[in-house]
Amino acid sequence: MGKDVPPDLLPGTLDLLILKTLLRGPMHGYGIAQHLKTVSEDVLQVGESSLYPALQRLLLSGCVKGEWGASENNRRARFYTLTAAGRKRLSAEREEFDRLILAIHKVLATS
Amino acid sequence: MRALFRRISYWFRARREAAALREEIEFHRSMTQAQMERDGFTPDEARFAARRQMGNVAIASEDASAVWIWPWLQSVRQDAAYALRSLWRQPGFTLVSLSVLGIAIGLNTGLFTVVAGAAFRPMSGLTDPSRVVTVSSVNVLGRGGLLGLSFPEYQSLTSAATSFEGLAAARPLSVRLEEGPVGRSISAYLVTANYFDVLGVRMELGRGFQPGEDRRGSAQAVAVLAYQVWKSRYGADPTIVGRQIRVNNIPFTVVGIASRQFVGPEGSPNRIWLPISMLPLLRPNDPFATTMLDRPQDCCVTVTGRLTPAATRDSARAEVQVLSTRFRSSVGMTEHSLAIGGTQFLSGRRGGGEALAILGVLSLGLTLVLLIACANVGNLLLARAAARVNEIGVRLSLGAGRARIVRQLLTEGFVLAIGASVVGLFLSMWLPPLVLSVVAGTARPFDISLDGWVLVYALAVAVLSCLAFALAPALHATKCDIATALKHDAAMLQSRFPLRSTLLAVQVAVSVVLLTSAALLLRGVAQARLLDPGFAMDGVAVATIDVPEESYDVARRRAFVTETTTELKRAGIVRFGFASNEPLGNETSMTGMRLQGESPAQARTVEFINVSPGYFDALSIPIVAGRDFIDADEGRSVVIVNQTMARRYWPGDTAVGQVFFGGGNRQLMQIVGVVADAHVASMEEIEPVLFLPPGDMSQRVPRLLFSTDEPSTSATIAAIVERVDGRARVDVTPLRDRFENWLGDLRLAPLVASAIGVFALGVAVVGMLGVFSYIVRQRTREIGIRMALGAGAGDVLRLVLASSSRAVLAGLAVGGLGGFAASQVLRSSLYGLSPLDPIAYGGVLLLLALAACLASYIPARRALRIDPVRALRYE
Repeated sequence: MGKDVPPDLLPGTLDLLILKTLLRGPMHGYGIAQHLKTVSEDVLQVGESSLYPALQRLLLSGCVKGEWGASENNRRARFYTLTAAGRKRLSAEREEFDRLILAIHKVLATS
Repeated sequence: MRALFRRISYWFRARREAAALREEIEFHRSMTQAQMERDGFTPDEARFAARRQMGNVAIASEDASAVWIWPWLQSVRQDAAYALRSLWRQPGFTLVSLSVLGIAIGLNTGLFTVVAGAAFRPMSGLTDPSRVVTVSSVNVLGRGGLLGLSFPEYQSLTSAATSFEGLAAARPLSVRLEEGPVGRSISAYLVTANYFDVLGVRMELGRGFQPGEDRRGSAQAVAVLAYQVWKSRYGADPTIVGRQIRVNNIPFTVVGIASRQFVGPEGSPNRIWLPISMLPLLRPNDPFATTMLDRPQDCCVTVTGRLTPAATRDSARAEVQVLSTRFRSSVGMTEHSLAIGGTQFLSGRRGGGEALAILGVLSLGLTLVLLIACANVGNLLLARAAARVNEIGVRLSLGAGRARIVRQLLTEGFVLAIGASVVGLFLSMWLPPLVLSVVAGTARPFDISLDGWVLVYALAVAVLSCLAFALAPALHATKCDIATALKHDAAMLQSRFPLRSTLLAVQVAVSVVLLTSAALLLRGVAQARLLDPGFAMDGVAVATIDVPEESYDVARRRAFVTETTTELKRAGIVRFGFASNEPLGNETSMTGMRLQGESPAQARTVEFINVSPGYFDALSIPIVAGRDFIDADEGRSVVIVNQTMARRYWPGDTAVGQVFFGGGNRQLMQIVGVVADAHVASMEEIEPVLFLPPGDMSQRVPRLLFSTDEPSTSATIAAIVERVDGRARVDVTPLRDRFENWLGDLRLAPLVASAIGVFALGVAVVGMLGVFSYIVRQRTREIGIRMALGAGAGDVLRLVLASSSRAVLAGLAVGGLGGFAASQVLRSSLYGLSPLDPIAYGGVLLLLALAACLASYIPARRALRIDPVRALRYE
């Protein structure tokens, strides 16, 4: 069990998914993973070994910032919030992603 | 850029961040577990499953934090840790390298603090020192030295110049500060009232001078004391402000204490500041002092200014040049060119250029020492690298890049260099103040504390020396091909190793150069002791007579000398004489002279001394022709010359009776006597000297020289002088003491040179030791085989020594040539010693031979103890 995000997922896609998820509001790592799993109907099962490096990468590039708070079951957890830079990056990457998907689609549709 | 900043700040918080990450992942795990329990697993199953799903928390968090740290940075840390460990494992090697490099770097950094302090750092205790400048005139005669300006010229500049917020003038003057009945001499600076404001000197207590307090006829005479004077003479008594002190018998009111950092341009802590208008009052009988503030011809005051923010040094120079030319033409003087300089100790100072040159030569010497140290440590590293050929070979064969291994070896060198520069910094904190206190006493003419620049310099030296000593061995060690290294046939590698021999030769050569210089200088001092000064040194003493200067004018001085002479003769003392300059006092007065028939343009300057009748007798200087002065010569234009002068201008014993133009080329003078050559001024080469009758004996009471045949003479003379004037004080010094003092000063240079030379030799010995041990280690198998085949102890020793004898001999030869070249430069300090002095060269040769024996003894002993059987199995 616990299938990771497929390794052949397009690079940078996980970052995009995390940023999009955080658009809903501050969330901790587990919450993000759960959200991705639920919304994708169990297709995207993100493991910690890719989730947390991705989160650290986003922290480093300043797209998200982390703050400690209490989780729903009253435990200490780090909540990630989207920053202005993160929003900008999300919209830029979203466009880029859409273009890519469209391109792939066109290739597949052409016989 | 911001990402870089975040990375760095992460680096500092690494531990906390890692903990946070672990906590976060642990939280994630427990949430997963809870979820599974909700999904119907048993708690145990859930925990197990959650953990399995998670994998290793540690690996996950490491992966995550790896985002932050450059892999590069981490590998550097790894290298450094590895280097530290390997240095720790070889404490002998580490200790030797650290001390050798540390001392070398310390000496260099120490010299740098002195150069930085003397040449680059502005005067201490100033506010915003970069805008404080000196204005001086370029002295055309004095080889580009700088002079001050006349006071009227200063006044014309200060009223018109717009480049400065203020211009201040200062003139040093030696005064007497009365404390009860006795007065002590102290150096005063006579300054304009704005002096402290222009320089931006903070007051420790009270205030500086106020406008108008430097006006002549100002109601109140005020004074500012230096911090040290306040502390040492008045016990830091805060009530001193407002009290009166007496300077040259004039009451001054103390208004302030200058800040502790400010010690003025000479750095003498023993100083007071007085308004410049007080100059005529402090020296009422000095015609120069009474008029200099009004005469544009008189020299001079030191002018210091604070530039306005808008002005640059160039624009200020252009402005003062115009103003100066205008002023000088208005008083009928030719223009001179002005210069603007900083307040650095050496800037514009007479002899500043030479001082810099000396510092340059010194730093060259110390660079040589650093070179030796680097060569030596490089040699040791080379030996180590050879011992690690195996390890390096394995690593190369496992696919490590050569660059990676070179970097790792360099890191080891760098760690060593950093450690050495820490040692060096401690040394340079402690050494220059010590040297300076030996050379300059209590004065601190410039700041020699460590600052950022010194740290940067030390670091730069460390990095460069690291490259110098570690790069070559690192490249060399990794050059070997893998197969050879793995076969452990290190002898193959050793057979062609010119680098090592070159390093050895360099250090032998450098220490020979330094040691021969030191030996020659030492021999020069010994030679100087044997010098014949040309006058009797034993049984002659010089009396310095101190009288209250403000009450002594020319007439009074002459009367004092006449009266003292009469009294001495009445007391039965006959062998004595007065002279304007004492022997070995290193003071010379110069006057112009030309021969009859020469035009004024052909005039030359010669040394002169005013002497009274009896001077030559007291010093036992023989009169070789003519006669001594007699009392009746006073006021007549007669002279006595020394033999050098007689020979140069009137060859063939014809000098007596000749006339020439002396006394500034105007006066016809007749020679009445010729005396034997003597070092009456200094021990330097003897120049032509004119002896003149007493005349007005310059600006002070002349020195009294007398023969101390009777032990009681000194006391008698002191008593007689004090009877003539109760305020006079006599200080008697035997001439022998003066000579010894001079020798003592002379000894400083060879002592420093020997210290450096001995240090260099020590380094070279350690270097040779390294090389010989290396050879023994490399050729263990060969030695074993030879011994098994019947080689004796002598053969083995010869083997060890012979392997680098060529390098040592080459070093000796090159060093000998270098030493000879250095001796040509040192010629003037050798006092007649031949630059090829056999004792100096022989001594150095012997010393090096001994050193080489010592350096080969320890490894050779090891070689002799090699057990043939074990050596053959050494593989």
